[in-house]
Amino acid sequence: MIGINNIGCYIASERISNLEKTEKHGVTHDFIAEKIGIASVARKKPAEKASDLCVLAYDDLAARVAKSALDDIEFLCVCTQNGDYQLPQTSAIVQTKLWISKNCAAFDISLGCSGYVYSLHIAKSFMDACGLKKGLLFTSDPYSEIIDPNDKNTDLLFGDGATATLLTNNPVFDLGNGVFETDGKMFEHLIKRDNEKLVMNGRGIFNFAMTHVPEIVTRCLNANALRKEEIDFFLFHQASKYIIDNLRGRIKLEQEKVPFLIKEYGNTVSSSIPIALREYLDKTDKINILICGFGVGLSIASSILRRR
Amino acid sequence: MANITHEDVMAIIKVTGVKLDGEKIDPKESFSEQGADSLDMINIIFAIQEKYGIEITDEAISDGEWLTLDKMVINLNKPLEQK
Repeated sequence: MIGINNIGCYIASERISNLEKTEKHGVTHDFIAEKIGIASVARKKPAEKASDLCVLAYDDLAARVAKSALDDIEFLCVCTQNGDYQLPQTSAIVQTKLWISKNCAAFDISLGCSGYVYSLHIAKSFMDACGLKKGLLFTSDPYSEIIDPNDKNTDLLFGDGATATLLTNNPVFDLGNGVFETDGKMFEHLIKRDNEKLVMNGRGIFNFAMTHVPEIVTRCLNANALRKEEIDFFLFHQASKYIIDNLRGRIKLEQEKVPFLIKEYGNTVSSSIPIALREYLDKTDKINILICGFGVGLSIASSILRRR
Repeated sequence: MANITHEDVMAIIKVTGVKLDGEKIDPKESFSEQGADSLDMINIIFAIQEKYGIEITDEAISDGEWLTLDKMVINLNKPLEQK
């Protein structure tokens, strides 16, 4: 069965300090440090596209695995809503930039912060169904291209990053049963209309997260016949410190089981879970990990990763 | 349903963990003047919605109808169709 073998990451190296934007956005240092929890946001170079970030994440992955581990890639997918072009699919561009054989399925998945969980399940199902043994799942959603720097709701939150997950039939983590929900009537709470910048209704996102995440965590545990106590840690989409802190409180989880890891680079959308997950790949005492992404759609997805 | 009191609303706020300035708050003063920031207000209003099963619109909030403890209590005690 296909699962996660390894993860490479790229977080854009330029940082923009949020603490220098307090006056511009009319917020305090305490608000940024204690509520948003993001001291700086990562920014890609203006000329870099989503596919370039994928290549940089791939380079990091290549440095973590044996050279032969990345031979014979048969599957490639990119989760993004800010691809290089409206068409073609960014995955085709990544395929050629990485010199991957043409005997490779390649497509994009259009999802935001729930995208990694969805994409894992889509990739696993596709690869298992087609008998494919090795694949790459990329996440790359450079929000700096669509943010209005004068909008405090988004300017203080989002950073640029990408990940490359190696999927094989000899994984470190097997994927459990996924659970998924959509509340399409809330689609305008996080939206980028044609020729406009990203608009986010922070209240709508908070309400959605507080209502749906606790419910889907319970559903996910039930779907995988696990109790809360059997989860070594809960990896929620790294939206903001305030959302993570409140989820931890509402679900009554220990602080050390719910990490918040994005202080130095910001919310990287569908990359936030795999960037954080990589920190735990080598920690063999972490057996069961619950992952949960939520955002654009509004959409939410949760699953279990079980160390093999 | 019995009238909703200032104490009822303050009990809800306490559960959210939102920290306000001082032991006793002024019911006529806005929460933002008493230590609540924009995220705290989102949290408080969400908790009230959840507790009483009501929906408070963005418009009602931006019109200032939920800015003070007094206003919250008055709104919560209105008949359902007027909220």
